[in-house]
Amino acid sequence: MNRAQFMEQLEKLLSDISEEERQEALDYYESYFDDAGEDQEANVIRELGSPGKVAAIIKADLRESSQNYGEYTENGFQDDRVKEDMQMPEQRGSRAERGYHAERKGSNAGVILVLILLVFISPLIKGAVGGVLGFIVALALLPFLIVFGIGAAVVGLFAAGIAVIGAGIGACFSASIGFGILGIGVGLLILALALVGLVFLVWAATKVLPAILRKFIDFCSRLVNRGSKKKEAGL
Amino acid sequence: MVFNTGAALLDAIVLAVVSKEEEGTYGYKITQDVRSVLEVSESTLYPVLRRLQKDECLETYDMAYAGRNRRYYKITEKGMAQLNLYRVEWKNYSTKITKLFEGGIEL
Repeated sequence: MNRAQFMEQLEKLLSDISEEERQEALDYYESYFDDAGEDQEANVIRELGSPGKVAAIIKADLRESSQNYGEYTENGFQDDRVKEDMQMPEQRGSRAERGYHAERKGSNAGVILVLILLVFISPLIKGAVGGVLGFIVALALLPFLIVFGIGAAVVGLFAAGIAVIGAGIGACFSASIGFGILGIGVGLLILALALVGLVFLVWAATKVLPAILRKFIDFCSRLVNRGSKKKEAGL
Repeated sequence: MVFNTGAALLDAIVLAVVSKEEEGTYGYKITQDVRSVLEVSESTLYPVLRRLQKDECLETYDMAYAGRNRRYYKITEKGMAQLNLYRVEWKNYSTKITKLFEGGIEL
């Protein structure tokens, strides 16, 4: 390929950009060949690469000219055009993603542990103290209010069931045996209801709440990530 | 070269090369000057010059040379300001990297 062929091809390849830009580029390369001198013609053509490459670089720059260039970037200038190291930001992104997943699992496990502990401890915390504590915790963790309500109900039902059974046993001796057995039966029914509530509570604490929590954490980390991504883009 | 030359660094280098010539300089010479310090493809420099011209960091004028018009590039005041900004930024950046490489920085 000689200079004339090179310029002819370049002109064809630049036919889809504005007249002004095309003429500017063609003038530049005509001058470039002139200044290099005839004896350098082959060298210049080899150094420039194919007309396709030259045209692609010109067009890529025209597309990007609306973007901001006034900052330092780790992305290579040449590689940007050839789109080789475009993987770099992606790699960074996926690494952040991985870190954030690990974090998510860790905090989930912690919360589940606390919830399970609360479920086990809740029968031990009695009456008013349990109620006040439960109220504060529920206020702090608003999404968990309903589950805590059920938890309190379960505690109440357990207490009530045991109390009614106790009263029934007492009634067996102090009042009529029939009335006492009725009391024990009602107490056992209340206990059964409490057990059903407990099963539901465990299900909610291990399946439903973590799901809600995950959504919440996703939302939070998306907010945080958006902030850091902006920072990255600004680099 | 192992390290990539970012768009801003290339802008800075071209501005520095052009600023060395009081009367302005032309495309082929700019390319040769840049390539004397940096391995860069000849075809990457035209878009840089064009962009700097559009950003009014460089101005152009045509002058007859050997029976034809040659386009000269000259740095503008805005280009000088931009170059000075790049110089400061580069000093900060390169000093930190050098310190880190030579073990003089506490992370």
